[in-house]
Amino acid sequence: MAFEPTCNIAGIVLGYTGKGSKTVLPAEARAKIDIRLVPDQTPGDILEKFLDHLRKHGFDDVEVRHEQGFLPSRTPVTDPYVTLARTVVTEVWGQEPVIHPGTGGAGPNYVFTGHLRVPCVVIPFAAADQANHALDESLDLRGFELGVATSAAMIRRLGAYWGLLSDGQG
Amino acid sequence: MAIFSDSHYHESGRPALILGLKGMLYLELTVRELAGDCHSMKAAALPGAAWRLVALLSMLKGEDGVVKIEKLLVNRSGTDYY
Repeated sequence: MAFEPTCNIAGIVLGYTGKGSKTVLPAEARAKIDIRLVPDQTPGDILEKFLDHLRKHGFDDVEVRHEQGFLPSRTPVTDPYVTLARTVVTEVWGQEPVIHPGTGGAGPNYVFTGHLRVPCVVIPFAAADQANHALDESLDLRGFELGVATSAAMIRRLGAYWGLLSDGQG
Repeated sequence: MAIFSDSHYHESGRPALILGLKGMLYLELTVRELAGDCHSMKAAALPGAAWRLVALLSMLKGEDGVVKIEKLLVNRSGTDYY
């Protein structure tokens, strides 16, 4: 899930889907797909490969609209800021964090790692049953309170690390 | 460094650090076969946009779950990822 590209059908719109029967031959059919990219893949390069695939199979008349594209991102496990975040999270939560080198999710981390060339660490505060992007998305109070404490501790620790605060206590 | 919060901590209740995310190519595909919808009695002779879209989608991924887009797993320098 974390290391391979995927191709997902996000939605299909076509034909008659109402109650009962309606004998119709639809003129048009539309689908939205998301292809998730792994390191060293770029949206432009994969779009070219996708269009080649359509051409080769006789679908070159299909209209392809590029809705969104962005790059994958990785921060090395050995980065000193990862060690710092790991220490802070362990102190605040009282448990060692599970470290994911990558997940199936996609996001704008490349703006920081690619353009600004700084490490990027995501620290999740919601529970596993949060139902993100679905109905009734939630954040439990434990996660909320630990989130506030983690953010404050990270800022204090970074301040001390950068020598902005003399005692490191804020 | 950059820090932000998204996604969820581990199912066991343990905290998590996420160091990498995937990129994205999001596309909308439109198949147009006729000027307008018509009676399905004509399906014997006229092309169906629905079937064509289904055919297109089914050649993107095999029944084994592996993406079939050619060279998707070959990187820009021409070597296989795995």
